[in-house]
Amino acid sequence: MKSRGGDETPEVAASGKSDAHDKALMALIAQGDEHALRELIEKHQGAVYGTIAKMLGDPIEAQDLAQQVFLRVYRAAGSYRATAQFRTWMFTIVRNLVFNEHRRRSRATFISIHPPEGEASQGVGASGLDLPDTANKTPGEYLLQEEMLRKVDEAILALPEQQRLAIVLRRYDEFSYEQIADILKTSVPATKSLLFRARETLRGALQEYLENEGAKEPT
Amino acid sequence: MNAGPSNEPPEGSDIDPRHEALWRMLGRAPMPEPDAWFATRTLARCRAQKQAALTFTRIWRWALGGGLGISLAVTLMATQVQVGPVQSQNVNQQKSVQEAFEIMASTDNSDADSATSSTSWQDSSL
Repeated sequence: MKSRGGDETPEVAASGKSDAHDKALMALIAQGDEHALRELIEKHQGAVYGTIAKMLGDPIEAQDLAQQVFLRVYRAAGSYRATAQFRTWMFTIVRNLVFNEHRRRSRATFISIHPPEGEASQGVGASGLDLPDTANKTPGEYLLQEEMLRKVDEAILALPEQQRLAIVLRRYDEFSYEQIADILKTSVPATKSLLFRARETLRGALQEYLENEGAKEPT
Repeated sequence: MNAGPSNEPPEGSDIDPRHEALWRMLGRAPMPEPDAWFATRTLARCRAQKQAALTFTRIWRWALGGGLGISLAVTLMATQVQVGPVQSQNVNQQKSVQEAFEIMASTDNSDADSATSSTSWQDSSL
């Protein structure tokens, strides 16, 4: 995982370059450049799709919503003003769409983004999820890992939506507290509070697996 | 919102969680990846939307132009219909005035004739 502490100058510089490139791409898209649009989609599709899939727990719905994010980016290219970081701005669209989708769904159903046990042996399945290091595991370990991954996703999905988005943005998309605060339209202390509560809830939900992990650690 | 974040972060929220076992465990459930055709499909959808927007603009242009043309034609026709009756009304008025003059003239003539005849009657009686 990349460092985000006080000694992150090269990373900040790299992210600044990347942001400038994104903004340049947006300017080209505004002029109707399709290659720039493709480049922008290919660059951010993983983060956008992954975040939405983690938030919704539904890979098919996530595909549609992720496409809608890029459609909105494309439509807004003409009027886009580079006041904030491009990535932060784009994830504000993600946030709006995901929260709207949550409100639209009246019933609380979720489908695990991990395939059922029978289908899991196909490796990268329909969900596109690559389970790590399955080849060197005994069937017992493999099943335990499967169960743990499913529990992790279920625990994330059970979080309140603000906490869930905060934890996904921090853990998987590696956003800074300031960027998460911008995306969630809240303050940095409130973001820290959200993340703290999310971690506490997750720790409680995954207690059993964390203890197992702790027991394995010394070996 | 359901999270109800307070302004003050709780104690311990500043601690970097990256070395926690929980953080590592979360990392083991990786982000799902979109399929290989995601970008192509998204591009196609953007293109279709652009096309739809262009068609919509074209339809609007034609509808607006057509609407303006029709309303102009209707306005012109309406003014022509309005001019027609006024003109015929004027002609009728002129006709009735003329007829009135003719009646008056014929009345005058008959009066003159009767006057003449009475004179002649008077004359003949003399």
